[in-house]
Amino acid sequence: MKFLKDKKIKLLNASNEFHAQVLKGSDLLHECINDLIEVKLNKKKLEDVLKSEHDADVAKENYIKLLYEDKRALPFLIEDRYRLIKYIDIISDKSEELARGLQVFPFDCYDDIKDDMKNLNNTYEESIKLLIEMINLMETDFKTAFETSFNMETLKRKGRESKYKILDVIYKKSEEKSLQIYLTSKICIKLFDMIGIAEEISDFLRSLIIKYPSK
Amino acid sequence: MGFSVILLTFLIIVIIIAFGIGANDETFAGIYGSRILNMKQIMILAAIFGITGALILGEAVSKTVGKGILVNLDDAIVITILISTAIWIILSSALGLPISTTHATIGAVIGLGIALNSSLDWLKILELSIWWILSPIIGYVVSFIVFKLMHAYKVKHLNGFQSLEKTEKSFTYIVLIVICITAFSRAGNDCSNAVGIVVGIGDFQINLLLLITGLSLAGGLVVLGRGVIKSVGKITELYPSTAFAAQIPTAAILFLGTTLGIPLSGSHMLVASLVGLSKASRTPTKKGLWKIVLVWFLTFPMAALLSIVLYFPINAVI
Repeated sequence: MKFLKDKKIKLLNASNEFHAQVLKGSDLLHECINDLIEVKLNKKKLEDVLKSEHDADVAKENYIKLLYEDKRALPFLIEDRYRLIKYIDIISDKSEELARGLQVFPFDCYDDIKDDMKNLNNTYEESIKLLIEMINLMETDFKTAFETSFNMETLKRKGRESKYKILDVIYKKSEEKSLQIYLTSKICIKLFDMIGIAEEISDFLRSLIIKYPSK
Repeated sequence: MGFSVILLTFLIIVIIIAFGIGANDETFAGIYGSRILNMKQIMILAAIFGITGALILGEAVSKTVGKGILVNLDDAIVITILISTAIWIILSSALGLPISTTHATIGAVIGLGIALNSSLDWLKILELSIWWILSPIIGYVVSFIVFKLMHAYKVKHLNGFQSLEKTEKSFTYIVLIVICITAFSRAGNDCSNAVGIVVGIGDFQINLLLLITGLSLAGGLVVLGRGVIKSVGKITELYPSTAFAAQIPTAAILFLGTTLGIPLSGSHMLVASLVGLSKASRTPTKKGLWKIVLVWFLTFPMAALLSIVLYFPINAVI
């Protein structure tokens, strides 16, 4: 019995480690974008984002390995957990991609989008935090997790508003360098994409909450 | 014909019958559907319980069956009924369709009754037909109600993955234990039906006979039975708890019905209870369910036809 309990704890620790790494990566990326908005991009911090993504990958592989080895676990729970890992990994990958993009981004942030960019960046950070919180709640409290999922929708709406405010401003800059307009819009769209994926994951979690008690 | 040739013929018949019974055994469908075990593990368990059930429980019942059947009936008639039943069971098993052994047997009896111009107890046949219709209805209603009760409990008490895992695990053990017991007792009962015909005609090493029957039953399960288990297990999406809702109450009612002498059909009840479950949980049923229902309707006439065709050559030989 103790052995089985240890195994379960090991699995939970592996999942927590993976989520912690994803959260760390999003925190670092959030800081990097803040740097871009306020002062200048810090390349060292961007390297840390990449490292964190790599650490998240290692944690993910360890988690998947433990899931695979857990022969006593219920197949449908393994499948759902695996699907969840896959979805979260997309966020992690996207944050790495954005960090790499920022490494080669040769411009400063436009002054007139700084406030909205800040809002979008904060929404991104909040949505990832909320998602990890929801995933943790899924283990022990379906009801609160279900209620939390609606906050994610609010965040997505907020993010979308900021995104279009930013795009509205930069698309009007016809006299500026087109590359700067394009790359800035890319940063903004990629940030919003991650908020969108977080919301999709929360939708998936909500569908599990609805599915399990009714099956 | 020499006595040993007759014995050998009977032995082959017993093997065919046991093979057919094993081939149409859907006892483990819930375990497969809810993925508690994979097909390989199911086959191993089913074979173990099939053989041990036949060996441990089969002796007493087979003696009763052997005496009971052969005292009152002509050998050729009994053999014809058993062979036609077995052939129809094997045919439907090869298509992965579960049927009721009882109904196939009754169909064969009716066919022979008509062919030999014997008087048939139509009132009894009517009674059996009513139970034939009532069996799936009972299965459907029972699993529907049990599911709804379980759903109410789950909504109130499920707090997350961890409690879900705990609950489903408990059901895993319950379902596994009960189904293994069912497989064990079913093997004992079914094997004795097959062995009974040989027991009546002479002194035998009954344990050896039961072992052969148990092996044939296991063989039927391994060769053709997996198709039936798959087809029943996939009627709707199953979890350990819903497998419990579908299989355990119907098994209990079946047991009660058998005790009271009511000829309920286990296969019909199980299939209908899975449909009831899918309606209660609003999960779609798999396509092709109509094939199962069609084969149920065909069981009576086909078994009757087979018995008519087979009786005369069998009678000539025996």
